[in-house]
Amino acid sequence: MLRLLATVLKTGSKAEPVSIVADEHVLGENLRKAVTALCGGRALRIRHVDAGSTNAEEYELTALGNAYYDADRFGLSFVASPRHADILTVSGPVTRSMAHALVAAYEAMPEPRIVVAVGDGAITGGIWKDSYAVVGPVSSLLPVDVEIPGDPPSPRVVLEGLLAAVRSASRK
Amino acid sequence: MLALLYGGAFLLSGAAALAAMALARSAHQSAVTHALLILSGLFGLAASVGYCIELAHGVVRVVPVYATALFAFFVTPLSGFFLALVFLGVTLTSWYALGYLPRYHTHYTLPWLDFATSLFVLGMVGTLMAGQPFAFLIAWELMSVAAYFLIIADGSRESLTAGFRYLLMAQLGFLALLVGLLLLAGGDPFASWAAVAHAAAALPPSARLGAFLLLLVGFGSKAGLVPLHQWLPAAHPQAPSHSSALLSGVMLKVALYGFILSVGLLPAVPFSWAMLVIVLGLASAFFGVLHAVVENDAKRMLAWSSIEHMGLLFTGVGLLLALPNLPVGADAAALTAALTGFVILHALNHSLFKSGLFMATGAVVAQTHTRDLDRLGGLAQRWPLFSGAFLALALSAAALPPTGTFFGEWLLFQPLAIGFRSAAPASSLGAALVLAVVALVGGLAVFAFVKLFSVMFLGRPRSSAAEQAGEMPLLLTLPPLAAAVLVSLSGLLLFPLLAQPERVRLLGLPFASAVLPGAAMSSWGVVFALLGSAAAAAAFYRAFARRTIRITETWDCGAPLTARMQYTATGFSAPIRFFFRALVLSKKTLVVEPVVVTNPWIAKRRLSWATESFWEAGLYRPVGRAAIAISASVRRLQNGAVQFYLALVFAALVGVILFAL
Repeated sequence: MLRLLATVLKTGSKAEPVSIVADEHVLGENLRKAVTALCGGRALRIRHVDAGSTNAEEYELTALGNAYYDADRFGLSFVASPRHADILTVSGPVTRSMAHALVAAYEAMPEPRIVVAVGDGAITGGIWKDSYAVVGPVSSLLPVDVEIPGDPPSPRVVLEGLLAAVRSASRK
Repeated sequence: MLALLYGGAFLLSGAAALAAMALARSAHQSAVTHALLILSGLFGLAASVGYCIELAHGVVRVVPVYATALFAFFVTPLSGFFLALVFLGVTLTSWYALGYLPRYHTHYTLPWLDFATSLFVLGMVGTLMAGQPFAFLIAWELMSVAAYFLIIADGSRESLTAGFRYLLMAQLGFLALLVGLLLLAGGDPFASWAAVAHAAAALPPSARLGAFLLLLVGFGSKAGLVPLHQWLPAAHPQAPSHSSALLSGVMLKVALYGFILSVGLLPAVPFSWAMLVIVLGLASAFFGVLHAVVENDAKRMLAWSSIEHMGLLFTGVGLLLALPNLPVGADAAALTAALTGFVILHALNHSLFKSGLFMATGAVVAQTHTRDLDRLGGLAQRWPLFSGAFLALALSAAALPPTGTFFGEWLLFQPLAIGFRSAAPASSLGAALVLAVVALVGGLAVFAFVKLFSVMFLGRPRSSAAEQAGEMPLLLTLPPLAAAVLVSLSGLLLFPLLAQPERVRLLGLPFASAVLPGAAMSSWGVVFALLGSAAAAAAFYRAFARRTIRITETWDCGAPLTARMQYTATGFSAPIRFFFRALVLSKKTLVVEPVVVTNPWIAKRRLSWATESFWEAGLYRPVGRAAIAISASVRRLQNGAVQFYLALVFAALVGVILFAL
């Protein structure tokens, strides 16, 4: 007991100091302002469709909700139904199995609607381009407003892409 | 002239019966029979129009049709009105039968069915024209027995059971009528109605009460009054649809006529008797509409609705009977006029829309081969004209404006709501209670017909039968459409006539105005208000709605939508069934069968569900059980011992001698 206490005292605190980069905060603050300008106080509601990705993009999008990025504070929220969504984010090359579901989800969204292709797979088809199972990039089925490159894009890049999408929608 | 026309109509329906038999082997038999029936109906309608014109000119007379010592037939203003209903119904249903019956030529034995139909019509016309109890009873029995053959026409077990029930009630009712009328007539069946009324005036009150109760039972059992109604929803739907239309739309009115006629024979009706009629009428209206809401069989639902409307009509007649006993003073004349207007307009409307609904439902059944509402649906897209006609008929069955039924029921509502203001508090309270029940019945009727129309015509087809239904033939569309047009116009044309003192005599009615001051409204005003608000709503929509409308698939969360996800008739009526669960007894049974014997957790579960009538469980079954129990105990006397029988004979002898001494 005493030995343990002595060891604790001798070792001291070994944790690394957390360096919070103010950059995300600034980016997020811009995003929040843009969302407020576009949606008038509402949150920007995102419906995500995995059209055949490796799930790498999904991990990064999920990371937007963790304690570090905490995208909710910028006015982003993921919703379950395209009926409630402002933005449709699509990841992965569009496989034949998911093509109808993707178009159905897009059709179900109210206007005005924004389509964001997340990741190289969604933009070009990636390494599955020209596969027999793939219809093509998202742009071959839907009018894509903003493309977020990367395989996968980091949450920070996703936030930048969403900011660009919101700004482009505000200009329209 | 009128006598010739009425006589011609009478004879033509007889000729139709003969034609059905004579041409039994011909392929044209059915067409000829129904053509003769249509001709009979047109003759009768021409006579009715002529009679109405005479009455409008102030000539009130009885039209003698045929009279000998044995039979006398004549037409009075009262029977003239009901005859017009019969002829209207016969014309429409026979027109419909021309298109309907050829599809069922293997299903029914057409010559016999047409023979029974013609005799049925003959019986109804004879009942209405009968000038004395003898002719009345003979014609009534002809109508009742012919109706039995209409009910069992398809020969199925269900029909035979329903037909047996019907025949039992019809014969019990006939016995009651026979005794009741003979009691009133002092035993002379050949006396004219006037002589019967004279004889009835001389009767002691107890005999008069007995006769009244017997007649109420006789006519009430035919009209489907609670608690003698249980046969009706079983029997009427089993007949072919054009016959169901006649049974429900027209025959019930003949029963109403019989009741009005026989009550008119009594010198005075005490208040308590009138209360009995009102209470029975309200109970019928309530139970009828309640079962119409929960019923899933389209034709049976219509039969329940007939009980409802007959209940309302009997309530109106009961109120009329109660009026002379109520201290309403100066309002009496106006109240009588309003209630008479209700009975006239509602009887007319009910016979129109109920015949129309039965014909239209019969057409749906002919195309989809099912009467189960939970297997129909999605028919509106395929048959727009037909659905429009059905919608108009359903609206009028629910008594919504601008159909005639709305104006008819308005004439019942206004005396109840404002007519008894100057009367004593007790009768105002009574009127308010009646009004509450009638309002509840009206609300439930809307519910029932929303269910009927929406489940049959809207949404997606619930079965392949409904999905693969073919084109609706024009010959099956036109008769219900004609009924829909007539019932929509009846209120617009007749209500202004009833409402204005200077015009009411055009109908030949002996009163000033059927609409009470303070409850008046213009029927065309109502229509224009409806049209105007619809136009305003459309204009508002066009002005403010977003211009671009995208029509896409319904969002189904990835799981395809199926017809089984829709609201069903069972689900729609569930709240009502729950609320009135003490009156609509529903029986649920869950059967659990294990798929593998060793594992009780993997099991097939089947839920079966049925509703049962309160009266069936609470009245009919106990009475049946008691009858069987008494029979069983009496059977113990028959023990086969000769000595015991001799002892019984001896005891009887001693008893008779003692009684004689």
